[in-house]
Amino acid sequence: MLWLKISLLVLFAVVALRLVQIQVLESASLKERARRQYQTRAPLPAIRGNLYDRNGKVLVSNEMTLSFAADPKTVGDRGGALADRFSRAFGKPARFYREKLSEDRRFVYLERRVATRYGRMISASEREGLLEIREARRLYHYRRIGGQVIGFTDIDNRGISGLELSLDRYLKGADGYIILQRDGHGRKKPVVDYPRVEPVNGSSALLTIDTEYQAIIEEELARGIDRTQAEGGLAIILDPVTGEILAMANYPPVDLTDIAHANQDAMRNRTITDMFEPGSVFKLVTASAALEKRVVTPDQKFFAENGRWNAPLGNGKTHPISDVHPYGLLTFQEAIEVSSNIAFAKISDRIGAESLYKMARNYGFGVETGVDLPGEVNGALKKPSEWSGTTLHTMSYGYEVGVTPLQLIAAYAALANRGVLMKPFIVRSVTDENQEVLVDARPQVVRRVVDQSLAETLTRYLEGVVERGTGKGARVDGLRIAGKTGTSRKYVGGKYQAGAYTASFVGYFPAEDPKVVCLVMIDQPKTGEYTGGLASAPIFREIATKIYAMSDRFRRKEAPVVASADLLGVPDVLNRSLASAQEILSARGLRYETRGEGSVIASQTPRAGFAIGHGEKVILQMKKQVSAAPGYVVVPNLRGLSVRRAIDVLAGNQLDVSLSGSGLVVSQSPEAGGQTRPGTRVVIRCEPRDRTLLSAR
Amino acid sequence: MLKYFTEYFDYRTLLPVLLLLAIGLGSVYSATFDARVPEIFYRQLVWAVAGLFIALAVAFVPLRLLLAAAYPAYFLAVFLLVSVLLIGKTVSGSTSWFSLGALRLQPSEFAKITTALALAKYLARTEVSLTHLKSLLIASGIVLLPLALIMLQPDTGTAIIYIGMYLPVLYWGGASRFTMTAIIGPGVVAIAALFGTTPFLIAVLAVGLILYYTRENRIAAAVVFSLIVLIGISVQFFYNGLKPYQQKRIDTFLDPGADPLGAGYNIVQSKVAIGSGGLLGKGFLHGTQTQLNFIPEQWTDFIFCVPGEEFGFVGAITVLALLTSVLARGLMIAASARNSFSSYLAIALTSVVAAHVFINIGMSLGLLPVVGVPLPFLSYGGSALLATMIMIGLLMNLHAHRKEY
Repeated sequence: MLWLKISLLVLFAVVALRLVQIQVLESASLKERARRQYQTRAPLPAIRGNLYDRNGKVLVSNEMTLSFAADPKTVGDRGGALADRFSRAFGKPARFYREKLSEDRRFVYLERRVATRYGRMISASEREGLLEIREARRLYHYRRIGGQVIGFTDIDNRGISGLELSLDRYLKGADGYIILQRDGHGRKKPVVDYPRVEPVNGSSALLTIDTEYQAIIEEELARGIDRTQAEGGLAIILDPVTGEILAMANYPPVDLTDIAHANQDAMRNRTITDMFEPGSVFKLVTASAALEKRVVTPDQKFFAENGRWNAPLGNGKTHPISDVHPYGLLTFQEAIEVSSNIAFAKISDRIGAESLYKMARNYGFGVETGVDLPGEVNGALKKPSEWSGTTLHTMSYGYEVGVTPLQLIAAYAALANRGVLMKPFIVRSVTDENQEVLVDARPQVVRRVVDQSLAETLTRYLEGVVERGTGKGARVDGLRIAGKTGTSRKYVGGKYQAGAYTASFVGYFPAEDPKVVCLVMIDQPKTGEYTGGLASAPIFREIATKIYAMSDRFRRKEAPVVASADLLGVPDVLNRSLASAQEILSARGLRYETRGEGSVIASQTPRAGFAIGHGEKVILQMKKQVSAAPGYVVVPNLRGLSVRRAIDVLAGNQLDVSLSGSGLVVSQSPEAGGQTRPGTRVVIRCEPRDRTLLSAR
Repeated sequence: MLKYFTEYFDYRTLLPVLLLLAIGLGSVYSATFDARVPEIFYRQLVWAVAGLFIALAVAFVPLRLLLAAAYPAYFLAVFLLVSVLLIGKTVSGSTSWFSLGALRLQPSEFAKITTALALAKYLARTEVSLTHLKSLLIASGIVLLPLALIMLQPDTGTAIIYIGMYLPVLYWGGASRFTMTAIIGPGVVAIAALFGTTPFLIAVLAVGLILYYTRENRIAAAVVFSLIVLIGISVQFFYNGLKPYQQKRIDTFLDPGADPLGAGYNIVQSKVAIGSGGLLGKGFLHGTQTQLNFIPEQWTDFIFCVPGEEFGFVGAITVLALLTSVLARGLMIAASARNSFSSYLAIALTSVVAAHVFINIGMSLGLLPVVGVPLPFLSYGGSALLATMIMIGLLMNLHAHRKEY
């Protein structure tokens, strides 16, 4: 009996000790392990910010799409029927879905980002094991324009080119999350008593682009390229006074909704990523240098050698320079009007290398313009020390120098702006969902390039180009236009290609008070009309005619920032008082309607950033202001706010602050919504904006 | 009347049993609460009440009736075990059920009792002595016959229970240390061999020393020792000859943590559930692992996780203490019985319950490999609960008749 009793005691002791081991000693780690097992985070995706044009028209917003995912294990035998159903709805073979549904995983996408109406095709009985995920997708309100400028986003809504890339940190916002409870079968459900961290929606950007100008240049560019059977082309419109980019187009266009079939070459915004030998449009630099150095006088004549000149190089050798048409004696103005290379080469001899180089530098060539678009290149401007014996001559009419189209138009804009070079820019402002302005771009002067009188003189000469010279094709009755043509042979693979030209025209108007500068560059016109004067100037003329006819810009009236409400995105008024919501909404010309009781907005329809139809009202669901117990205050939600704003909010709530880091608030203690004594120190941790957004992923 | 009550009515066995039944019902309720199978709780409630009445009824059956029924009941049970192999229902690969309409019956549960009765009756005969080879063989035969039939189902867990019953009875019946060593030795060495060469050698050495000190006939000792070593070596050869997936099964058997998502899943989950309960537990119906169904079949074999998680160390140790008190009570009844049949039967029944308790809890705590053995009083299952309650009734009966010869 003793042994039996001892055995029983030993067994009891072993089990009891094991219980102590796992329930007391290892309990903490096993608790953590249990928590990891049953808790999982589900992201609440932030809505990407919108892009608006200068008049407040939505260029890019978001639309809801539906993604179907399945848990093949739960679907089980119903996979066949489900595959058939999907096959009928989406037109792919049933085998495609059957294979996905037989994968040995717990999560497979069946269809991603399809219209929300497909949600209706699944009946309740089939829903077991099927997951419908609502995801926002970029919605392009003007589908075929400005593609290279706006840029692409990838399937996860991250910007990968254009403004979507350069503004990504502002547009993407910060995803929130909810904590889900997961059960032993892998099913998930939300838990009510865990904190839900709301997403901080992306900020929206107001661009300097004018949608109507953009539409006009895209259309005229396409028509002109069709007429000249060219390979491609580009056009830019700039406000010379401010440096604002009003329109920027590349041909062929890209379809932002179809990244899969996008041509890699066409995706580039060549106005900043590619450089060209400009040809005669570069004579702007030579002419400016000549006037500044006073090496020419108005009545001075230059012999244009009847179209062909073997220029001496000083070492007994010569190199040939030719003009398109033969001329004899030309004044300086006539040399500009007919664009004589020979005359300009002779003038450059008087200017000298150093002065010509300095003028080119001053106009901004050889250095990136600093425009707020990704991928800009410097161009190529050699220092005089690197020049060969022919460089001075060839550069005087635009060879042996590489410029980007934006550099070129910015230089002409400087002339139009009476000699002052402005930095081109495209983002006017960035505003977060709390209407806080994060970026507020102002026109920036780069430098004065030439005197006002010189600029006015040269403008008069350039008017002559359009009036009588090579730019006649750009003439518009009743509008004074100053402009210059350029035709350069394309330098491909180490040599100049026969019959391949870049044809440019750049000009501004009205010449007496320039409001817009416009550049048109056509790549390899195939018909006989390959010169800037014949290929590009007519396109400029069409653009100028239309813009001048329709635009308020020339009636000396600034267009209001917000012009029409019918395409406006709805601002975020969540958690605001009715009074402040009212202010924000009426500033956008939006009407609203309240539902329920209370003084604070609990939810809004449509959600922030979504478009609202003309005449529709914003529905505001009200809730009561949470009031704290006597002697207590409610801790406000600071997440996503800037440090300055967070401190303001805390001060307004009689709370103290303890701060670490800088940038945006990423965490706070005590948590929002709790009640605490006034004067309590709220610990907030901040991270720089970029890192904030990254770490929130 | 009161004297009669204290004299004949074994409330000291019944009280902890009632508490355990209540805890069991609470655990089944909690385990099935979120799984949306409420009928399981109600069925268990019916079984518990029925079991209680049956225990009370069994407690007052005259002792000689039990004695008279022992052999017929044994052979009836054997007959049923044979029949179930032929016409039984196969559930998860094991043919152990009779389906009688809505009622499902597991004869192996009741065969435990009849085997205990038959074994006790045989050993109580005056001419039987376990020091004689013949008696030993017959006693072993009584256990091995149903055990073999159950292995055919196959139901390893229940088969192990028979061994758990047999060894204490052998010891209680006066088997020599040599006999005990000869029976236990091969098992110990075989298991040690699975763990590797060093444990194998240590086990062989230990068994050898014990055999040496039993002072048994040298030749018999040498034969037994050689057999044991042979078995140990053949286990290693047998293991090496297995296919990889079969080896893996044995590895998981030995170390459940090695394959936490596969075969070891239950053990790991059970350990996480009990461990995360901590000292005081998460509260009734608030066990995350239980309520979120991380432990498969938690209302049957892994029921110990429920009090362990929801009431923590305090709950688990309470359940363990109550169970142990029932077992200690069983040993006391065996010691106080004045006739050997009662005494053997009490040991056998207590051993059966003890084997269930420690194998089940040991498995839940990751001390033992997973074998399908229910936890007495707590696990869901009608046959098992009824059989346990009959055994409790028998123990109470033996207490009441302890002074009879």
